[in-house]
Amino acid sequence: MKIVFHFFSIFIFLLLLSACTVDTSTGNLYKQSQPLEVDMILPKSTSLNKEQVIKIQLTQEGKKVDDAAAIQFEIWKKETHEDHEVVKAKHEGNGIYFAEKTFNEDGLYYIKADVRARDLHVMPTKQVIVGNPSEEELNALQQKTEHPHGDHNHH
Amino acid sequence: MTTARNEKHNDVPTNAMKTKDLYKAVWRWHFYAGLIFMPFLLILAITGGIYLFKSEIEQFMYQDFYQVEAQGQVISPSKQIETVMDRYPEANVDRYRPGEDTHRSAEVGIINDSSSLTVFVNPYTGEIVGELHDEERLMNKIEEIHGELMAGTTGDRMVELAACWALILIVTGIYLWRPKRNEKLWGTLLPRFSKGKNVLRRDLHAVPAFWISAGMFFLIITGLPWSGLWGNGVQHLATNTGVGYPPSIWIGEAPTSDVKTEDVADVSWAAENLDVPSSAIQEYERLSIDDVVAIAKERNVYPSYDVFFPKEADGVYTLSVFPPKAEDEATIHIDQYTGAVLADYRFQDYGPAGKMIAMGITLHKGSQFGLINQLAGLIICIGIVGVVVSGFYLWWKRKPNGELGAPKAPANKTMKSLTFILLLLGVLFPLVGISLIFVWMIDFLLIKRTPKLKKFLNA
Repeated sequence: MKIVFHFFSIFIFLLLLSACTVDTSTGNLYKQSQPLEVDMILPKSTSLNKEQVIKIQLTQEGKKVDDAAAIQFEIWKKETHEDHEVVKAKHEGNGIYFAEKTFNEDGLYYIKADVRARDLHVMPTKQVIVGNPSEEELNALQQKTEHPHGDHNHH
Repeated sequence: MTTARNEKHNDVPTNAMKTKDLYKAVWRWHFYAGLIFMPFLLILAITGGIYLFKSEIEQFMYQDFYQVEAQGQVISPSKQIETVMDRYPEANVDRYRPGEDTHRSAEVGIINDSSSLTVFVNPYTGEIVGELHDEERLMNKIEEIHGELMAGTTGDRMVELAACWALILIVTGIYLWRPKRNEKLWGTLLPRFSKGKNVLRRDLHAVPAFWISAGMFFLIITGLPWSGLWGNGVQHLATNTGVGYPPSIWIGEAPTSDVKTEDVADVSWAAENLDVPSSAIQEYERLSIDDVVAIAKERNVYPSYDVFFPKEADGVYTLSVFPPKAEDEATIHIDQYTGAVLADYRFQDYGPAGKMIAMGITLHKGSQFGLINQLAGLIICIGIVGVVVSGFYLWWKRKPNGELGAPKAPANKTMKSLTFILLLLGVLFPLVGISLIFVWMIDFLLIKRTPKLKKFLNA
């Protein structure tokens, strides 16, 4: 009886210890997504009235993707999202797609790549400063307060 | 391990005596467990019975917030959130829930002054139609009582302990109830009305208890997976072995967004409204909520989903929905910079144990099969209340004045088979194990050495 009791105590102890971690590789036991990785490459500085090349590098699982179905860039100035301009991208090879764009106004721009490939859809957006934007636009760059941490619970 | 069978060579206690002793011992356990856990079972049954009708109750309570008039075009989610941000400039948005149909308002969950607030927005006009403090919602309070007696982790453990002991009550109860000799029907499946008051009282507890025991067992087993200790352990065991929920739904980490450090300023991701977050020359913007909602549409997510906002620079947007039917569940993690879907888990992606637990949960909540399911749950809850009350009444009527009226402790103290069963339960449910050790210690250190207690407890 004593020995049973010992085993029993040890078992409970082990159970309490073991039940608090999920192995990092656990995800491999379940359905995996193969997300598209996309990197937007812009010129180091964006100047006015000069043709600029906007590129994206598209990969999946680290391998280059050259069979994208449709890629376009949406470009708009801050606060005027409604009248954004759409530029279709061309395929360069090696997972690179590109488009040319000439900016004619100073300001803060957004460039969004809308990428559809292999039944997946990604849409990264980058923010670019062109020329010398106004004081007001630069003020918009002020940082916001830090996020408090919350927890969500679903039941 | 030895069992009672190995003791056949002992000619001292006969088999009949042994059965009698065993009966007494089981009765004692049933008696004490019943008295101790009675209040908990009442609370669980009553709060559970109410919670079954959560959606109907909230639909009625919050109809002014939920209902909107459908009128033309819906404005974009980001505009809806802007309205809320105008009213609460200091707050952080952590959740957005588009209405699931044309007559339902959208919800924006914000954290304001460290309290969670749900703001209801009319998606056609952008007007705020109402707001609720999440912790003040009646149903949240009911759930908190049901899950943790409003006492945090301690309460959670108490509920779990009560649920496990309720299983022991069912098992011991069935043993005490089991048909004897020539009673096949009366006293087991039907109460005996002509055998005097005492028999009737016993039957009015034991017979209905038998009838609802299966349902009660089902409710306990389906509720335990979300208990803090046992449930957590089982979830980990199942997830780690590939048979449970995929990671991040209950336990485990969500995938992370691919942060291209040179492109993302430290604080930028935390900016709540959709204008420019930082002074880097070029950097990735956080995906707009409009794109996240579009992804949910593209992926056919059940319409009552919530979007949870990223909380870290490498955090993700999480679409999460736990609708009435388990088969419609979805948990989707989206890279906050590219919109790439990093994980998309549906019911069919759960392991077999995960599917069982998920289905058990919707059955437990009464949502899986609609009204029939709710009524079945309600009948079991009412039944549990009845059995608790009749058990209490049975004890009250039988007990001698000034005594607890516990069944006499059997002469033969080493009940190997009973001990074995209790140990087994103690191993399966660690909290039961801990409480058993506790009971034995009290018995050994206190009751055995205090004549008064010994007499009172009939030990």
